[in-house]
Amino acid sequence: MLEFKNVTKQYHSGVFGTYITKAVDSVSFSIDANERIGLLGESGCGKSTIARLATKLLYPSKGNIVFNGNDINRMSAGEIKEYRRDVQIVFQNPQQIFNPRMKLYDTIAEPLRLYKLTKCPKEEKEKIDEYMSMFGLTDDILSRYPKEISGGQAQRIAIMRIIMLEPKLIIADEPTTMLDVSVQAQILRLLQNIMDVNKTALLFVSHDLDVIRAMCQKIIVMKDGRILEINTTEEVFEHPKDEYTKFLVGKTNLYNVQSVFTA
Amino acid sequence: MDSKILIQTDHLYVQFAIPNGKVCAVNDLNLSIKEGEVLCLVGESGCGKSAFGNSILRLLPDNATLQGHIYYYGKDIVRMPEKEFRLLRGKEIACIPQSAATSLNPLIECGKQVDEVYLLHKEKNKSAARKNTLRLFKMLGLPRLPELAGDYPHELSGGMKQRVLVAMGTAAEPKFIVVDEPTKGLDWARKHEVIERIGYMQSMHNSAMLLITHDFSVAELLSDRIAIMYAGEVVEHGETKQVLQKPQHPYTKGIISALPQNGFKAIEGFSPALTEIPSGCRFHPRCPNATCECTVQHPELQKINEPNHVSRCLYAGV
Repeated sequence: MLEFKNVTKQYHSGVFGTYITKAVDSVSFSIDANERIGLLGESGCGKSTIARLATKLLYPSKGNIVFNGNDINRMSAGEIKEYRRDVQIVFQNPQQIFNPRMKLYDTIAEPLRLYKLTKCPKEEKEKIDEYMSMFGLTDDILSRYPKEISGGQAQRIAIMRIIMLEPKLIIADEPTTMLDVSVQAQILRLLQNIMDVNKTALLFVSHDLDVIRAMCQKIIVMKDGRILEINTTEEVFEHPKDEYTKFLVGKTNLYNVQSVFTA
Repeated sequence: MDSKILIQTDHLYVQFAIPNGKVCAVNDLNLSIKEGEVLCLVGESGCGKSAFGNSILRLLPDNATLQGHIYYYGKDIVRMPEKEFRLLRGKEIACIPQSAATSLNPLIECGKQVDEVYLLHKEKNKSAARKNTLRLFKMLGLPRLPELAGDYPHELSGGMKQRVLVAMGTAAEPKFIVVDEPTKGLDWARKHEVIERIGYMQSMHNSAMLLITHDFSVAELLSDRIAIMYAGEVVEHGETKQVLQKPQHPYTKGIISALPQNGFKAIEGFSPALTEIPSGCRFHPRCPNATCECTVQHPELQKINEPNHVSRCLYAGV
């Protein structure tokens, strides 16, 4: 569905732009429909740059990004609007993505109005209420401002707003690093359930091995802008090929809070 | 165990004044930490963990009021005059703050910031201070020594800044360190490094530690005992192994099974805001086995068969 072909993104720095930093260096991979891929790597390895390239928030310096046969950087205005609906991103800090001066009801209704998914205000309200109960949120939140809700609630609303547009691919850029363990579990469980129902593909960007292991079928390991290994989750954890992957996976054995308790 | 009790809290309450009333962030807390012991405080954001850490350091904001006692070697540090406490803070009771990015002074070289602690609390000798700083940096595995000591904080990565803070906290070889979320915002590899170094420094100086975190893997690696906090109260307290392997309180069970390696079995609902504390047991609205009695009766910490393992549940150990 989405394919990266030899994509490079470089930044120029210094007075005359003489220093070149390659954030992403000739990266190629593809995501099929209904596939869940994890992008694993340490801070500064180019994970988030890939997420931003895929959502057209950045443009590649070299190479092509192809979505269902169309190069996303050569699309017409109409196609871009469609593409932005099909590919959605969940950011790390949910509090920062909402407009602080808009009430949450308007924030949630904005994409519905933009894509004309509902015909009248009454239908809009009904649709929002339906999704709110699906996500376990109460109605009183709708009349509040973004700063008046907790991080877990904000991330739920961010995901809800995305799900209402029924995207084909969700890119999650470390969606739970700011949240506590129990809230993380709620959010990821919710994401899993919804993707099972809607058959959505997922690109899950994270540095947390355990979360990626639980969420994804396939893992891409990155370091310094390059892809080191692409393999199924089991292979990466059981028989890592690359030295760096071995180093990362070796560390999981130190953390072993396996539950003896089973509900 | 014949080591002395270092820090003891006695019916500690921390309250914050808000525009229409008061919120109680820490409620009737009784904990003690012995010399050389690591106690880990685990809980969700906003449950009062950091408020407790800051109350030991007396760094609470102006709108906070403190009731009860905190004893340091039998001396009550709550009632101590600020002048006297300043001699303790940094020298005997130190802290490693949580956000490495904002805790260092951006205008002073990081080596100099660590020197300062030594100069203030040990001896007024600049070359000895720098020697000590470099020794700590080496122990913490920081690269590019001695040039790194002359770098400004923005030239360092997040993990390196966190390690500079660890050096700062341990420069005066304190007897007690409050470590507040040392791994927040660090990635997997850096996190491991920082934990390893903190553990190493702790065993080198044999200092006692209060480790505040919401990460069980950190708690398991470093601590001797764990206290679980929920909505301002300690709900379970015991030795690390016992608490993690045989959790007794439904909340502890819940967060352990919510870990990714245990399959994200989340607890329903959200933890209550401190302004809207439920009646009876504070966990009852989210508890899977709550009964009528739980909604009325507020449980006390109850002993379970194991020594030193207590749980705040009416049905603990049943």
